[in-house]
Amino acid sequence: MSKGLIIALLLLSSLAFSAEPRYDVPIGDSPSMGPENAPITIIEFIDFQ
Amino acid sequence: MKEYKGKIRLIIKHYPYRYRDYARIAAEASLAARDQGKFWEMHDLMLERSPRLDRESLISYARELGLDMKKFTASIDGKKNDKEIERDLQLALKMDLYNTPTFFINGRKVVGNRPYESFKRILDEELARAGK
Amino acid sequence: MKRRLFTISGFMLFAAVMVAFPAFAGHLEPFREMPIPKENPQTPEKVELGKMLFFDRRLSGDGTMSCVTCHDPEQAFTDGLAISLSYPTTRNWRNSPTLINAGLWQFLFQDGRVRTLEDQALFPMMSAFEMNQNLDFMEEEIRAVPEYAKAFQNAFGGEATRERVAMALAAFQRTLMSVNPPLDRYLSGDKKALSKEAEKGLEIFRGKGKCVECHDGVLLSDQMFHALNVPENPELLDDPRVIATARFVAKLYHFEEYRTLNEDPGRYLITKDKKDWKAFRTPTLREVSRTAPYMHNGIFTTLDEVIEFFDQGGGKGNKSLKPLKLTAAEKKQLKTFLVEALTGEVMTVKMPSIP
Repeated sequence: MSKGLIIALLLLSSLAFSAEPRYDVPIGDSPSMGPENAPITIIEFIDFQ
Repeated sequence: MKEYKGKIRLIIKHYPYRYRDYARIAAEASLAARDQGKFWEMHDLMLERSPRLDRESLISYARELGLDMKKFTASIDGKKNDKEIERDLQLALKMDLYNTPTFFINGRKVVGNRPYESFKRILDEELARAGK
Repeated sequence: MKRRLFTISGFMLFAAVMVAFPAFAGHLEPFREMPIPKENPQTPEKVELGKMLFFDRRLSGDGTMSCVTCHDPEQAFTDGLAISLSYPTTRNWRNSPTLINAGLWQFLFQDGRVRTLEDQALFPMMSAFEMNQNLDFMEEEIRAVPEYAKAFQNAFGGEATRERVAMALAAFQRTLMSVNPPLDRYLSGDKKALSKEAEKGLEIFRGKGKCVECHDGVLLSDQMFHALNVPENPELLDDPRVIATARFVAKLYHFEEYRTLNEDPGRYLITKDKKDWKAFRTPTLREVSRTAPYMHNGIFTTLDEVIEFFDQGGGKGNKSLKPLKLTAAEKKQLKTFLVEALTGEVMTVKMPSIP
């Protein structure tokens, strides 16, 4: 019973993840820092002013 | 962000707002510095000194960083990297971005300058997700 | 239990409200239509103009912010933060409320300081810690743009004024609503619209949980103000920028001891009525699963925390709530109801082109 509940919760949380839109932003040759295989990629649209 | 060292790759795209006088020339300046291998130094310096980003100020920052002044000045005056800035700008418009800064953290859109804790929560979620 | 809150005069006010809206008190109502004031009729031109203004950074003093900054269509018209975003170098002190079904409110803002969307729209623009714009300047900025001159001519038959800016923004906001959530279908007779679990949650919502005593009507809000003594948000304490914001607002509302104020007095600033000390507007629960964090200061990140807070009988020393003693299963059912029944179809609002 409790195992079923845990699986249901896991399913729910993965649903919550997939519900959030993820955008595919082309990186191109834009300036970058940090390792290319880093687990997190942040693309920042910046205005210096 | 130090605690995430080695775990983050940061990429900068330009989205200068057209009603800000120095937004565009500042973007040029950052890329002129990039061409001399000092993008991030210029990036940091300009954010620190913003909004003093008029041409004379930008030239003085380049001097501070020890850049080749002739090349730098020619680059910003001749809008050498205009195409690259325009490409980023068009991408931003196409993606309906309405504010700067806008971040995409593993594709998740985060708008505006937010408190560190708010970023931290997302970064930790993404790290946990990648660790699976 | 709710009645304990009120003094005699408070009770009379409550009774008057009961007479005014006899159908609503303690009952849930499905959404039927958005009321449109006859002073500001909806036209497609006005709504489209309002949408442009909603996305336009000109409405803020330094061109960094627009309405969307804190009311992002992709985040259920909130900014997803505990404390709302603010003008650069300043700090806000309250959570950004969703604009979904904003046209149904009879009190706008968490302290209910205005009664219509038209009256509401200019406040954030003028506020020093929000958009920090000068309205005389804003009018000229808008008038100077040919595309806007044309759009105002089409929508109003005249030039841009601050009142018309507010009217257009209000008209656009009246198009924002929770689209076809299961609760509306259920209340209209489709008993299959809710799962068994959500149906049980609704029973708790109406019964043992006593939620419906304050979360009633179409908005699932009694549109009244209650002091629940929500815990203070530690993010706000001791930040000089937040203290400045609190004292600035208190000063505007002629709160005598504003120079020593270190907390959010809520509705009290507006009414100066003791029962309104730290009282805030009952929030709508429509789309609640998309509008975290919760409470006026965003202190709770999840609905579980919110349910726990109410189950414990609210914050220290409050006179409005009593412990509910819900079982774990009941809490789960209640949450299922809140998430499943009140979440409608996603409403997409595409960014218009801004001149």
